Amino acid sequence: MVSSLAEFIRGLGYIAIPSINDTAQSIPIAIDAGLGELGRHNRIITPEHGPNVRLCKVFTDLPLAVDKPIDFGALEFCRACRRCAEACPAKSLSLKDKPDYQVRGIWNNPGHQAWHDDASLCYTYWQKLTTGCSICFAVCPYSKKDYASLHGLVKGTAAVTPAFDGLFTRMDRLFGYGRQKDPARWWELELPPFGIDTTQGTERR
Amino acid sequence: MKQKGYYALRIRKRCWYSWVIIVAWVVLLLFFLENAWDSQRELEPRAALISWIIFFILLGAGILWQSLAHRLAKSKAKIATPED
Repeated sequence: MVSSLAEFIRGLGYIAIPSINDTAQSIPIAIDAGLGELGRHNRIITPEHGPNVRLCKVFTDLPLAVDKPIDFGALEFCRACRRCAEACPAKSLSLKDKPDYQVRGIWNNPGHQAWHDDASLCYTYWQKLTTGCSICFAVCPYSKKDYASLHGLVKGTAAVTPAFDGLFTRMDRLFGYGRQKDPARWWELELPPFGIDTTQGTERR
Repeated sequence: MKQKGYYALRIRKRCWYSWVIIVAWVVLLLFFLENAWDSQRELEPRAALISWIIFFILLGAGILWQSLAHRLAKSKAKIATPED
């Protein structure tokens, strides 16, 4: 998708360099662009899909309107929550109350406040599994399908005041959110509401 | 009192806060009903179960409250006569 976008921009006559994990850090760029806030798991949390996003970027000289970072209460919520850090099997995420400047290894970029994680523990666990993990994404209270109106009420309240964040975290545990579901039934759910049909083009010829 | 050939009816109006409670009860019922239904769609069985329990508790409490209030009102009613 990012290559198609870059090709389109080049077609307009501008420079466009697509990038996914390379060239620059996607997460701070996405935060600066107003896509979300930095969470306790040291990844981005978006208001619509939580941390369940795949970031990519295009470096371009196309004139664009500049967005600002957003604040929808996720950082404050993460202070009270800790679900990702407690659920992490590798214990790689921070349980501190507040983000700080203290890095945990050479994999962390210094100079900014964050809940710095121990990426070596995380990726060692990936190697043990022989696949990716993403348990921290699954248990995040912002990872919701958003069918029930309760989620909108909770997110909206958390965006206005952090006073109920502890209560919402306890409710999230009580209601059993973040537990593993039956994979077969999960994949039978409706496709994403933004209309992208990921089954197109997958027929074997 | 000796009954005559007629009954006098006492009309009771609900006070304004009674209507507020009724509307709030209906809104909460609809909210938890919607939450229970959509939690099942999200494959969150525990959330759905909790929402269904709250829904039925609210429904039962409202019906019970109204039936008790009705019974209390009936017990206080008296038949008025021209001598009253």
